[in-house]
Amino acid sequence: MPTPDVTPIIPELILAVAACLVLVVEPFLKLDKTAVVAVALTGLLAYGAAAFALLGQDMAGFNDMIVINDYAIFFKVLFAAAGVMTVLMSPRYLEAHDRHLGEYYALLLFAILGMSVLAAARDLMAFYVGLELMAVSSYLLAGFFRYRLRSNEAALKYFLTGCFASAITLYGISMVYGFTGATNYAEVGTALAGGENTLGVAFATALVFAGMGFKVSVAPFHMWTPDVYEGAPTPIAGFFSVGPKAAGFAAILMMFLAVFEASVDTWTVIFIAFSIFTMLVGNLFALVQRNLKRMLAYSSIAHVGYLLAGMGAIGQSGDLLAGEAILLYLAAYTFMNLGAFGVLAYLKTQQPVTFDYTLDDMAGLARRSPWAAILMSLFMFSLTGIPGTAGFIGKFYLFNAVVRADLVWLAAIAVIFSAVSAYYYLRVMVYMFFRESEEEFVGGEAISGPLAASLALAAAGVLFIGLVPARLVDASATAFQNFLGL
Amino acid sequence: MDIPIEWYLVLSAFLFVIGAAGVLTRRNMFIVLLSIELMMNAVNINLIGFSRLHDNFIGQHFVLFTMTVAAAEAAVGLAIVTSLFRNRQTTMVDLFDLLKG
Repeated sequence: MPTPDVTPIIPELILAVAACLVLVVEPFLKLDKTAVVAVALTGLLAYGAAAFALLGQDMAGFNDMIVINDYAIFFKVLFAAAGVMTVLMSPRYLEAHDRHLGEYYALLLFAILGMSVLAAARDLMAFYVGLELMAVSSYLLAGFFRYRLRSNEAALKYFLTGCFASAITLYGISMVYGFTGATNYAEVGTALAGGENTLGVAFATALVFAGMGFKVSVAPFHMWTPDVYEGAPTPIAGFFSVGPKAAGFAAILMMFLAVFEASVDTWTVIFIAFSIFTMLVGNLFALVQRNLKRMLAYSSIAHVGYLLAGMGAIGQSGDLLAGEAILLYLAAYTFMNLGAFGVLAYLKTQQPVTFDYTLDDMAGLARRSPWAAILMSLFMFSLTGIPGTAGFIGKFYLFNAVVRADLVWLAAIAVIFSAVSAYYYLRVMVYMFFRESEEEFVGGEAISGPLAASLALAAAGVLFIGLVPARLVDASATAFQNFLGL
Repeated sequence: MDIPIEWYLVLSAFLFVIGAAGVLTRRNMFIVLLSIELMMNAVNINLIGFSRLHDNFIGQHFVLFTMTVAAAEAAVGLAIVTSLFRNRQTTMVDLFDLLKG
Protein backbone atom coordinates (compact mmCIF):
# COMPACT_ATOMS: atom_id res chain seq x y z
CA MET A 1 0.00 0.00 0.00
CA PRO A 2 1.54 3.35 -1.00
CA THR A 3 1.99 5.90 1.76
CA PRO A 4 -0.06 9.00 1.15
CA ASP A 5 1.79 12.23 0.41
CA VAL A 6 1.12 14.53 3.35
CA THR A 7 2.53 17.71 1.78
CA PRO A 8 -0.92 19.30 1.22
CA ILE A 9 -1.77 19.06 4.90
CA ILE A 10 1.57 19.91 6.54
CA PRO A 11 0.26 23.23 7.97
CA GLU A 12 -2.83 21.49 9.29
CA LEU A 13 -0.75 18.74 10.87
CA ILE A 14 1.36 21.33 12.68
CA LEU A 15 -1.77 23.00 13.98
CA ALA A 16 -3.31 19.71 15.13
CA VAL A 17 -0.12 18.77 16.97
CA ALA A 18 0.01 22.19 18.62
CA ALA A 19 -3.62 21.90 19.73
CA CYS A 20 -3.02 18.47 21.26
CA LEU A 21 0.19 19.75 22.87
CA VAL A 22 -1.80 22.51 24.54
CA LEU A 23 -4.07 19.87 26.08
CA VAL A 24 -1.04 17.86 27.24
CA VAL A 25 0.77 20.83 28.77
CA GLU A 26 -2.27 22.34 30.49
CA PRO A 27 -2.70 19.81 33.38
CA PHE A 28 0.91 20.36 34.49
CA LEU A 29 0.42 24.06 35.02
CA LYS A 30 -1.01 25.68 38.08
CA LEU A 31 -2.14 29.29 37.89
CA ASP A 32 0.39 30.61 35.42
CA LYS A 33 -0.71 29.63 31.94
CA THR A 34 2.09 31.36 30.04
CA ALA A 35 3.40 28.04 28.72
CA VAL A 36 0.04 27.20 27.14
CA VAL A 37 -0.14 30.60 25.47
CA ALA A 38 3.42 30.14 24.21
CA VAL A 39 2.62 26.71 22.75
CA ALA A 40 -0.52 28.03 21.05
CA LEU A 41 1.33 31.02 19.62
CA THR A 42 4.26 28.92 18.40
CA GLY A 43 1.83 26.50 16.79
CA LEU A 44 -0.02 29.27 14.99
CA LEU A 45 3.18 30.93 13.81
CA ALA A 46 4.60 27.61 12.61
CA TYR A 47 1.32 26.91 10.84
CA GLY A 48 1.42 30.27 9.08
CA ALA A 49 5.10 29.90 8.25
CA ALA A 50 4.63 26.39 6.87
CA ALA A 51 1.77 27.64 4.71
CA PHE A 52 3.90 30.54 3.53
CA ALA A 53 6.78 28.22 2.68
CA LEU A 54 4.47 26.18 0.46
CA LEU A 55 3.54 29.26 -1.58
CA GLY A 56 3.51 28.51 -5.28
CA GLN A 57 2.79 24.82 -4.76
CA ASP A 58 -0.22 23.42 -6.53
CA MET A 59 -1.04 19.88 -5.63
CA ALA A 60 -3.92 17.75 -4.44
CA GLY A 61 -3.81 14.92 -1.99
CA PHE A 62 -5.95 12.21 -0.40
CA ASN A 63 -7.98 11.31 -3.49
CA ASP A 64 -8.12 14.98 -4.52
CA MET A 65 -10.04 15.77 -1.36
CA ILE A 66 -7.75 18.52 -0.20
CA VAL A 67 -5.45 20.84 -2.10
CA ILE A 68 -2.61 23.15 -1.36
CA ASN A 69 -2.41 26.13 -3.68
CA ASP A 70 -2.08 29.88 -3.41
CA TYR A 71 -5.79 30.23 -2.70
CA ALA A 72 -5.70 27.87 0.28
CA ILE A 73 -2.42 29.42 1.46
CA PHE A 74 -3.85 32.95 1.31
CA PHE A 75 -6.57 31.88 3.72
CA LYS A 76 -4.21 29.87 5.93
CA VAL A 77 -1.97 32.89 6.44
CA LEU A 78 -5.03 35.04 7.11
CA PHE A 79 -6.35 32.54 9.68
CA ALA A 80 -2.92 32.37 11.31
CA ALA A 81 -2.92 36.17 11.66
CA ALA A 82 -6.45 36.17 13.09
CA GLY A 83 -5.49 33.34 15.44
CA VAL A 84 -2.36 35.10 16.68
CA MET A 85 -4.28 38.31 17.36
CA THR A 86 -7.05 36.42 19.20
CA VAL A 87 -4.58 34.44 21.33
CA LEU A 88 -2.64 37.57 22.24
CA MET A 89 -5.71 39.50 23.37
CA SER A 90 -7.07 36.61 25.45
CA PRO A 91 -4.88 35.99 28.56
CA ARG A 92 -5.54 39.30 30.27
CA TYR A 93 -9.23 39.16 29.44
CA LEU A 94 -9.65 35.60 30.69
CA GLU A 95 -7.75 36.38 33.89
CA ALA A 96 -10.12 39.25 34.54
CA HIS A 97 -12.95 36.70 34.42
CA ASP A 98 -11.08 34.03 36.42
CA ARG A 99 -11.39 31.59 33.57
CA HIS A 100 -7.87 31.36 32.20
CA LEU A 101 -7.80 27.71 31.13
CA GLY A 102 -5.75 25.90 28.51
CA GLU A 103 -8.76 24.32 26.79
CA TYR A 104 -9.62 27.74 25.45
CA TYR A 105 -6.50 27.80 23.27
CA ALA A 106 -6.91 24.18 22.22
CA LEU A 107 -10.47 24.85 21.08
CA LEU A 108 -9.34 27.97 19.26
CA LEU A 109 -6.65 26.02 17.40
CA PHE A 110 -9.12 23.27 16.51
CA ALA A 111 -11.54 25.87 15.16
CA ILE A 112 -8.75 27.31 13.00
CA LEU A 113 -7.87 23.80 11.86
CA GLY A 114 -11.47 23.34 10.72
CA MET A 115 -11.42 26.68 8.91
CA SER A 116 -8.17 25.73 7.22
CA VAL A 117 -9.63 22.44 5.97
CA LEU A 118 -12.75 24.27 4.81
CA ALA A 119 -10.71 26.65 2.65
CA ALA A 120 -8.61 23.84 1.19
CA ALA A 121 -11.39 21.29 0.62
CA ARG A 122 -12.07 20.10 -2.90
CA ASP A 123 -14.54 17.44 -1.91
CA LEU A 124 -17.93 17.72 -0.23
CA MET A 125 -16.82 15.26 2.44
CA ALA A 126 -13.73 17.26 3.41
CA PHE A 127 -15.85 20.40 3.24
CA TYR A 128 -18.36 18.97 5.68
CA VAL A 129 -15.78 17.70 8.15
CA GLY A 130 -13.96 21.05 8.10
CA LEU A 131 -17.21 22.94 8.57
CA GLU A 132 -18.20 20.84 11.56
CA LEU A 133 -14.79 20.94 13.20
CA MET A 134 -14.95 24.72 13.01
CA ALA A 135 -18.56 24.84 14.21
CA VAL A 136 -18.34 22.39 17.13
CA SER A 137 -15.25 24.14 18.52
CA SER A 138 -17.01 27.47 18.13
CA TYR A 139 -20.08 26.37 20.11
CA LEU A 140 -17.85 25.47 23.03
CA LEU A 141 -15.87 28.70 22.80
CA ALA A 142 -19.08 30.74 22.82
CA GLY A 143 -20.10 29.07 26.08
CA PHE A 144 -16.65 29.17 27.61
CA PHE A 145 -17.72 31.23 30.64
CA ARG A 146 -19.96 28.46 31.80
CA TYR A 147 -20.96 30.13 35.07
CA ARG A 148 -22.35 33.13 33.28
CA LEU A 149 -25.89 33.01 31.99
CA ARG A 150 -25.19 35.15 28.95
CA SER A 151 -22.36 32.92 27.82
CA ASN A 152 -24.58 29.85 28.33
CA GLU A 153 -27.31 31.40 26.30
CA ALA A 154 -24.93 32.41 23.53
CA ALA A 155 -23.66 28.81 23.33
CA LEU A 156 -27.22 27.46 23.25
CA LYS A 157 -28.33 29.79 20.48
CA TYR A 158 -25.18 29.26 18.45
CA PHE A 159 -25.44 25.51 18.87
CA LEU A 160 -29.09 25.21 17.89
CA THR A 161 -28.93 27.48 14.86
CA GLY A 162 -25.56 26.07 13.84
CA CYS A 163 -26.67 22.44 13.96
CA PHE A 164 -29.88 23.27 12.17
CA ALA A 165 -27.91 25.04 9.45
CA SER A 166 -25.41 22.17 9.11
CA ALA A 167 -28.24 19.68 8.75
CA ILE A 168 -29.79 21.80 5.99
CA THR A 169 -26.45 22.13 4.17
CA LEU A 170 -25.91 18.42 4.57
CA TYR A 171 -29.30 17.60 3.06
CA GLY A 172 -28.41 19.78 0.08
CA ILE A 173 -25.06 18.00 -0.24
CA SER A 174 -26.73 14.60 -0.13
CA MET A 175 -28.99 15.68 -2.99
CA VAL A 176 -26.00 16.89 -4.98
CA TYR A 177 -24.44 13.48 -4.47
CA GLY A 178 -27.70 11.89 -5.54
CA PHE A 179 -27.79 13.81 -8.82
CA THR A 180 -24.16 13.24 -9.69
CA GLY A 181 -22.91 10.14 -7.88
CA ALA A 182 -19.75 12.00 -6.86
CA THR A 183 -18.58 14.34 -4.10
CA ASN A 184 -15.41 15.69 -5.69
CA TYR A 185 -15.96 19.32 -6.72
CA ALA A 186 -14.59 18.90 -10.23
CA GLU A 187 -16.55 15.71 -10.91
CA VAL A 188 -19.76 17.14 -9.47
CA GLY A 189 -19.32 20.31 -11.50
CA THR A 190 -18.86 18.37 -14.71
CA ALA A 191 -21.83 16.13 -13.96
CA LEU A 192 -24.10 19.05 -13.08
CA ALA A 193 -23.06 20.85 -16.27
CA GLY A 194 -24.82 17.99 -18.08
CA GLY A 195 -27.97 19.95 -17.28
CA GLU A 196 -30.42 17.32 -16.03
CA ASN A 197 -32.72 17.66 -13.00
CA THR A 198 -32.58 21.44 -13.08
CA LEU A 199 -35.34 21.93 -10.51
CA GLY A 200 -33.75 19.45 -8.12
CA VAL A 201 -30.35 21.07 -8.56
CA ALA A 202 -31.87 24.48 -7.87
CA PHE A 203 -33.39 23.07 -4.68
CA ALA A 204 -30.07 21.58 -3.57
CA THR A 205 -28.34 24.88 -4.35
CA ALA A 206 -30.91 26.73 -2.26
CA LEU A 207 -30.39 24.34 0.68
CA VAL A 208 -26.62 24.72 0.58
CA PHE A 209 -26.97 28.48 0.27
CA ALA A 210 -29.36 28.66 3.23
CA GLY A 211 -27.08 26.53 5.38
CA MET A 212 -23.99 28.53 4.52
CA GLY A 213 -26.04 31.71 4.91
CA PHE A 214 -26.62 30.79 8.55
CA LYS A 215 -22.89 30.28 9.05
CA VAL A 216 -21.79 33.61 7.60
CA SER A 217 -24.97 35.35 8.90
CA VAL A 218 -26.73 36.42 5.75
CA ALA A 219 -30.04 38.13 6.55
CA PRO A 220 -32.66 36.70 7.18
CA PHE A 221 -30.56 33.90 8.69
CA HIS A 222 -28.66 36.32 10.95
CA MET A 223 -30.80 36.27 14.12
CA TRP A 224 -28.22 34.42 16.20
CA THR A 225 -25.33 36.78 15.42
CA PRO A 226 -25.90 39.70 17.82
CA ASP A 227 -26.89 37.40 20.70
CA VAL A 228 -23.87 35.16 20.28
CA TYR A 229 -21.45 38.06 19.97
CA GLU A 230 -22.92 39.73 23.03
CA GLY A 231 -22.79 36.60 25.18
CA ALA A 232 -19.49 35.10 24.03
CA PRO A 233 -16.13 36.16 25.52
CA THR A 234 -15.08 39.33 23.68
CA PRO A 235 -11.91 37.99 21.97
CA ILE A 236 -13.97 35.03 20.81
CA ALA A 237 -16.74 37.27 19.50
CA GLY A 238 -14.07 39.12 17.53
CA PHE A 239 -12.70 35.83 16.25
CA PHE A 240 -16.20 34.67 15.24
CA SER A 241 -16.76 37.86 13.33
CA VAL A 242 -13.69 37.35 11.13
CA GLY A 243 -12.49 33.72 11.14
CA PRO A 244 -15.55 31.59 10.38
CA LYS A 245 -16.81 34.33 8.05
CA ALA A 246 -13.62 34.29 5.98
CA ALA A 247 -13.63 30.49 5.95
CA GLY A 248 -17.31 30.49 5.02
CA PHE A 249 -16.66 32.82 2.09
CA ALA A 250 -13.64 30.77 1.01
CA ALA A 251 -15.94 27.76 0.85
CA ILE A 252 -18.85 29.65 -0.74
CA LEU A 253 -16.58 30.97 -3.51
CA MET A 254 -15.31 27.50 -4.28
CA MET A 255 -18.69 25.80 -3.95
CA PHE A 256 -20.56 28.14 -6.20
CA LEU A 257 -17.84 28.60 -8.80
CA ALA A 258 -16.78 24.96 -9.01
CA VAL A 259 -19.76 22.86 -7.98
CA PHE A 260 -22.77 24.93 -8.96
CA GLU A 261 -21.11 26.57 -11.96
CA ALA A 262 -23.85 25.26 -14.23
CA SER A 263 -26.63 27.15 -12.41
CA VAL A 264 -24.69 30.43 -12.29
CA ASP A 265 -27.62 32.51 -13.60
CA THR A 266 -29.89 31.31 -10.81
CA TRP A 267 -27.50 31.88 -7.94
CA THR A 268 -26.34 35.25 -9.20
CA VAL A 269 -29.88 36.55 -8.75
CA ILE A 270 -30.11 34.90 -5.32
CA PHE A 271 -26.83 36.45 -4.18
CA ILE A 272 -27.78 39.93 -5.40
CA ALA A 273 -31.21 39.79 -3.74
CA PHE A 274 -29.80 38.57 -0.43
CA SER A 275 -26.97 41.07 -0.66
CA ILE A 276 -29.39 44.00 -0.73
CA PHE A 277 -31.49 42.59 2.09
CA THR A 278 -28.42 41.82 4.22
CA MET A 279 -26.98 45.31 3.74
CA LEU A 280 -30.35 46.79 4.68
CA VAL A 281 -30.88 44.71 7.81
CA GLY A 282 -27.28 44.98 9.01
CA ASN A 283 -27.00 48.72 8.63
CA LEU A 284 -30.47 49.67 9.89
CA PHE A 285 -30.31 47.53 13.02
CA ALA A 286 -26.76 48.69 13.74
CA LEU A 287 -28.07 52.25 13.86
CA VAL A 288 -30.22 51.61 16.92
CA GLN A 289 -27.79 49.52 18.98
CA ARG A 290 -26.36 51.06 22.13
CA ASN A 291 -24.34 47.98 23.01
CA LEU A 292 -21.09 48.04 21.05
CA LYS A 293 -20.78 44.27 20.71
CA ARG A 294 -24.25 44.14 19.21
CA MET A 295 -23.46 47.11 17.00
CA LEU A 296 -20.36 45.33 15.71
CA ALA A 297 -22.42 42.19 15.18
CA TYR A 298 -24.91 44.03 12.98
CA SER A 299 -22.07 45.84 11.26
CA SER A 300 -20.51 42.45 10.47
CA ILE A 301 -23.83 41.46 8.90
CA ALA A 302 -23.66 44.62 6.78
CA HIS A 303 -20.14 43.71 5.65
CA VAL A 304 -21.39 40.27 4.66
CA GLY A 305 -23.92 42.11 2.51
CA TYR A 306 -21.12 43.93 0.65
CA LEU A 307 -19.28 40.64 0.16
CA LEU A 308 -22.43 39.04 -1.25
CA ALA A 309 -22.63 41.89 -3.76
CA GLY A 310 -19.14 40.82 -4.81
CA MET A 311 -20.40 37.25 -5.25
CA GLY A 312 -23.21 38.61 -7.40
CA ALA A 313 -20.64 40.46 -9.51
CA ILE A 314 -18.63 37.27 -10.08
CA GLY A 315 -21.74 35.43 -11.18
CA GLN A 316 -22.82 38.30 -13.41
CA SER A 317 -19.58 38.86 -15.28
CA GLY A 318 -17.29 35.95 -14.50
CA ASP A 319 -14.77 38.71 -13.89
CA LEU A 320 -11.71 37.74 -11.88
CA LEU A 321 -11.61 41.17 -10.32
CA ALA A 322 -14.59 40.53 -8.04
CA GLY A 323 -13.07 37.35 -6.64
CA GLU A 324 -9.81 39.12 -5.93
CA ALA A 325 -11.71 41.96 -4.31
CA ILE A 326 -13.55 39.53 -2.01
CA LEU A 327 -10.24 38.06 -0.83
CA LEU A 328 -8.80 41.51 -0.30
CA TYR A 329 -11.89 42.65 1.59
CA LEU A 330 -11.79 39.62 3.87
CA ALA A 331 -8.15 40.35 4.72
CA ALA A 332 -8.86 44.01 5.46
CA TYR A 333 -11.94 43.13 7.48
CA THR A 334 -10.01 40.62 9.61
CA PHE A 335 -7.61 43.25 10.92
CA MET A 336 -10.05 46.09 11.50
CA ASN A 337 -12.82 44.12 13.14
CA LEU A 338 -10.58 42.03 15.36
CA GLY A 339 -8.84 45.25 16.37
CA ALA A 340 -12.13 46.84 17.40
CA PHE A 341 -13.02 43.82 19.52
CA GLY A 342 -9.51 43.91 20.98
CA VAL A 343 -10.03 47.45 22.25
CA LEU A 344 -13.32 46.36 23.82
CA ALA A 345 -11.55 43.42 25.48
CA TYR A 346 -8.96 45.82 26.90
CA LEU A 347 -11.66 48.12 28.30
CA LYS A 348 -13.38 45.16 29.92
CA THR A 349 -10.16 44.17 31.69
CA GLN A 350 -9.94 47.71 33.11
CA GLN A 351 -13.44 47.71 34.59
CA PRO A 352 -14.49 44.06 34.86
CA VAL A 353 -17.68 44.90 36.72
CA THR A 354 -18.93 48.24 35.47
CA PHE A 355 -18.00 48.12 31.79
CA ASP A 356 -20.95 46.71 29.90
CA TYR A 357 -19.99 47.53 26.30
CA THR A 358 -22.54 50.33 26.00
CA LEU A 359 -21.95 53.63 24.27
CA ASP A 360 -22.23 55.44 27.60
CA ASP A 361 -19.35 53.36 28.93
CA MET A 362 -17.22 54.81 26.14
CA ALA A 363 -17.88 58.38 27.26
CA GLY A 364 -14.72 60.27 28.11
CA LEU A 365 -12.45 57.45 27.00
CA ALA A 366 -10.13 59.84 25.18
CA ARG A 367 -9.30 61.47 28.47
CA ARG A 368 -8.69 58.41 30.62
CA SER A 369 -7.13 56.12 28.01
CA PRO A 370 -6.02 58.10 24.96
CA TRP A 371 -4.34 55.16 23.23
CA ALA A 372 -7.43 53.01 23.41
CA ALA A 373 -9.48 55.89 22.02
CA ILE A 374 -7.02 56.51 19.17
CA LEU A 375 -6.88 52.83 18.22
CA MET A 376 -10.66 52.49 18.40
CA SER A 377 -10.97 55.55 16.15
CA LEU A 378 -8.58 53.99 13.65
CA PHE A 379 -10.61 50.80 13.51
CA MET A 380 -13.89 52.71 13.28
CA PHE A 381 -12.47 54.85 10.44
CA SER A 382 -11.41 51.70 8.69
CA LEU A 383 -14.79 50.01 9.13
CA THR A 384 -16.43 53.13 7.70
CA GLY A 385 -14.02 53.07 4.76
CA ILE A 386 -12.11 56.32 5.19
CA PRO A 387 -9.19 56.59 2.71
CA GLY A 388 -5.81 55.63 4.11
CA THR A 389 -7.22 52.63 5.96
CA ALA A 390 -7.69 49.01 4.99
CA GLY A 391 -11.45 49.38 4.92
CA PHE A 392 -11.23 51.93 2.14
CA ILE A 393 -9.05 49.71 -0.04
CA GLY A 394 -11.36 46.76 0.54
CA LYS A 395 -14.49 48.70 -0.31
CA PHE A 396 -12.86 50.48 -3.24
CA TYR A 397 -11.82 47.25 -4.97
CA LEU A 398 -15.05 45.47 -4.14
CA PHE A 399 -17.41 48.20 -5.33
CA ASN A 400 -15.21 48.81 -8.37
CA ALA A 401 -15.61 45.14 -9.28
CA VAL A 402 -19.37 45.40 -8.81
CA VAL A 403 -19.47 48.41 -11.16
CA ARG A 404 -17.35 46.61 -13.73
CA ALA A 405 -19.89 43.76 -13.71
CA ASP A 406 -22.52 46.22 -14.98
CA LEU A 407 -24.22 46.33 -11.60
CA VAL A 408 -23.83 50.08 -11.11
CA TRP A 409 -27.13 50.29 -9.23
CA LEU A 410 -25.99 47.62 -6.77
CA ALA A 411 -22.72 49.45 -6.17
CA ALA A 412 -24.71 52.65 -5.63
CA ILE A 413 -26.85 50.93 -3.00
CA ALA A 414 -23.72 49.59 -1.30
CA VAL A 415 -22.12 53.05 -1.26
CA ILE A 416 -25.28 54.60 0.19
CA PHE A 417 -25.36 52.00 2.94
CA SER A 418 -21.65 52.62 3.62
CA ALA A 419 -22.51 56.27 4.11
CA VAL A 420 -25.27 55.27 6.53
CA SER A 421 -22.79 53.09 8.41
CA ALA A 422 -20.59 56.14 9.03
CA TYR A 423 -23.26 57.31 11.49
CA TYR A 424 -22.97 54.41 13.88
CA TYR A 425 -19.21 54.01 13.57
CA LEU A 426 -18.41 57.68 14.07
CA ARG A 427 -20.94 57.97 16.89
CA VAL A 428 -18.57 55.81 18.96
CA MET A 429 -15.89 58.46 18.44
CA VAL A 430 -18.25 61.25 19.40
CA TYR A 431 -18.80 59.48 22.71
CA MET A 432 -15.10 58.82 23.23
CA PHE A 433 -13.90 62.33 22.49
CA PHE A 434 -16.73 64.74 23.17
CA ARG A 435 -18.76 63.28 26.05
CA GLU A 436 -17.74 63.37 29.65
CA SER A 437 -18.02 60.25 31.74
CA GLU A 438 -20.71 60.52 34.41
CA GLU A 439 -18.96 58.56 37.10
CA GLU A 440 -15.44 59.19 38.28
CA PHE A 441 -13.00 56.66 36.91
CA VAL A 442 -10.23 55.44 39.18
CA GLY A 443 -6.98 53.69 38.38
CA GLY A 444 -6.61 51.84 35.12
CA GLU A 445 -3.41 50.67 33.54
CA ALA A 446 -1.99 51.39 30.12
CA ILE A 447 -2.40 48.89 27.29
CA SER A 448 0.49 46.52 27.77
CA GLY A 449 1.80 43.00 27.28
CA PRO A 450 0.29 40.60 24.77
CA LEU A 451 -2.84 42.71 24.36
CA ALA A 452 -0.73 45.64 23.20
CA ALA A 453 1.02 43.37 20.70
CA SER A 454 -2.33 42.19 19.41
CA LEU A 455 -3.68 45.71 18.95
CA ALA A 456 -0.41 46.83 17.38
CA LEU A 457 -0.66 43.97 14.91
CA ALA A 458 -4.24 44.88 14.03
CA ALA A 459 -3.41 48.56 13.67
CA ALA A 460 -0.33 47.77 11.58
CA GLY A 461 -2.45 45.54 9.36
CA VAL A 462 -5.07 48.25 8.89
CA LEU A 463 -2.48 50.91 8.04
CA PHE A 464 -0.33 48.63 5.90
CA ILE A 465 -3.24 47.49 3.75
CA GLY A 466 -4.55 51.03 3.69
CA LEU A 467 -1.37 52.82 2.69
CA VAL A 468 0.59 50.24 0.67
CA PRO A 469 -2.07 47.90 -0.67
CA ALA A 470 -0.13 46.76 -3.74
CA ARG A 471 1.39 43.66 -2.17
CA LEU A 472 -1.85 42.33 -0.80
CA VAL A 473 -3.69 43.15 -4.02
CA ASP A 474 -1.10 41.11 -5.92
CA ALA A 475 -1.35 38.28 -3.40
CA SER A 476 -5.13 38.08 -3.62
CA ALA A 477 -4.98 38.28 -7.41
CA THR A 478 -2.54 35.36 -7.68
CA ALA A 479 -4.52 33.44 -5.08
CA PHE A 480 -7.79 33.82 -6.89
CA GLN A 481 -6.47 33.17 -10.40
CA ASN A 482 -4.74 30.11 -9.10
CA PHE A 483 -7.99 28.90 -7.60
CA LEU A 484 -9.89 29.27 -10.87
CA GLY A 485 -7.35 27.03 -12.57
CA LEU A 486 -8.63 24.29 -10.22
CA MET B 1 -36.62 -7.46 -5.60
CA ASP B 2 -34.96 -4.08 -5.25
CA ILE B 3 -36.51 -1.32 -3.25
CA PRO B 4 -36.94 1.65 -5.59
CA ILE B 5 -34.93 4.77 -4.80
CA GLU B 6 -38.09 6.86 -4.40
CA TRP B 7 -38.97 5.01 -1.21
CA TYR B 8 -35.70 6.02 0.40
CA LEU B 9 -36.17 9.60 -0.71
CA VAL B 10 -39.73 9.86 0.57
CA LEU B 11 -38.80 8.35 3.93
CA SER B 12 -35.82 10.65 4.20
CA ALA B 13 -37.83 13.74 3.24
CA PHE B 14 -40.47 12.87 5.85
CA LEU B 15 -37.86 12.39 8.57
CA PHE B 16 -36.12 15.62 7.62
CA VAL B 17 -39.34 17.64 7.73
CA ILE B 18 -40.36 16.09 11.05
CA GLY B 19 -36.93 16.92 12.44
CA ALA B 20 -37.00 20.49 11.13
CA ALA B 21 -40.51 21.02 12.52
CA GLY B 22 -39.32 19.66 15.85
CA VAL B 23 -36.39 22.07 16.01
CA LEU B 24 -38.61 25.01 15.18
CA THR B 25 -41.58 24.27 17.43
CA ARG B 26 -40.54 22.22 20.46
CA ARG B 27 -39.51 23.95 23.67
CA ASN B 28 -37.67 21.19 25.49
CA MET B 29 -33.97 21.23 24.74
CA PHE B 30 -33.72 17.43 24.65
CA ILE B 31 -36.49 17.10 22.09
CA VAL B 32 -34.76 19.75 20.00
CA LEU B 33 -31.51 17.76 20.18
CA LEU B 34 -33.36 14.61 19.14
CA SER B 35 -34.96 16.48 16.26
CA ILE B 36 -31.53 17.57 15.02
CA GLU B 37 -30.41 13.95 15.15
CA LEU B 38 -33.49 13.05 13.13
CA MET B 39 -32.50 15.55 10.44
CA MET B 40 -28.98 14.13 10.29
CA ASN B 41 -30.32 10.60 10.00
CA ALA B 42 -32.64 11.63 7.19
CA VAL B 43 -29.51 12.72 5.36
CA ASN B 44 -27.88 9.36 6.11
CA ILE B 45 -30.80 7.49 4.57
CA ASN B 46 -30.52 9.73 1.52
CA LEU B 47 -26.81 9.05 1.19
CA ILE B 48 -27.16 5.28 1.55
CA GLY B 49 -30.03 5.19 -0.91
CA PHE B 50 -28.04 7.16 -3.47
CA SER B 51 -25.01 5.01 -2.79
CA ARG B 52 -27.05 1.97 -3.91
CA LEU B 53 -28.46 3.86 -6.87
CA HIS B 54 -25.06 4.92 -8.17
CA ASP B 55 -23.48 1.65 -7.16
CA ASN B 56 -20.47 3.33 -5.54
CA PHE B 57 -19.26 3.59 -1.97
CA ILE B 58 -18.87 7.36 -1.67
CA GLY B 59 -22.25 7.74 0.03
CA GLN B 60 -21.44 5.08 2.57
CA HIS B 61 -18.11 6.69 3.36
CA PHE B 62 -19.90 9.97 3.80
CA VAL B 63 -22.34 8.41 6.27
CA LEU B 64 -19.46 7.30 8.47
CA PHE B 65 -18.33 10.92 8.69
CA THR B 66 -21.86 12.20 9.30
CA MET B 67 -22.40 9.76 12.13
CA THR B 68 -19.12 10.68 13.79
CA VAL B 69 -19.91 14.37 13.50
CA ALA B 70 -23.43 13.79 14.83
CA ALA B 71 -21.96 12.05 17.87
CA ALA B 72 -19.60 14.95 18.50
CA GLU B 73 -22.43 17.42 18.09
CA ALA B 74 -24.60 15.48 20.53
CA ALA B 75 -21.79 15.45 23.09
CA VAL B 76 -21.32 19.20 22.80
CA GLY B 77 -25.07 19.78 22.86
CA LEU B 78 -25.50 17.76 26.05
CA ALA B 79 -22.57 19.59 27.65
CA ILE B 80 -24.23 22.91 26.87
CA VAL B 81 -27.56 21.68 28.27
CA THR B 82 -25.83 20.51 31.44
CA SER B 83 -24.18 23.85 32.09
CA LEU B 84 -27.44 25.65 31.33
CA PHE B 85 -29.37 23.43 33.69
CA ARG B 86 -26.85 24.04 36.47
CA ASN B 87 -27.43 27.77 36.19
CA ARG B 88 -31.13 27.93 35.48
CA GLN B 89 -32.71 24.60 36.56
CA THR B 90 -34.67 24.36 33.33
CA THR B 91 -34.25 22.89 29.87
CA MET B 92 -37.00 24.89 28.18
CA VAL B 93 -35.41 26.71 25.30
CA ASP B 94 -37.79 29.67 25.23
CA LEU B 95 -36.95 30.65 28.80
CA PHE B 96 -33.48 31.70 27.73
CA ASP B 97 -34.23 35.24 26.67
CA LEU B 98 -31.54 37.31 28.34
CA LEU B 99 -30.14 38.30 24.97
CA LYS B 100 -32.69 39.78 22.63
CA GLY B 101 -32.04 39.06 18.98
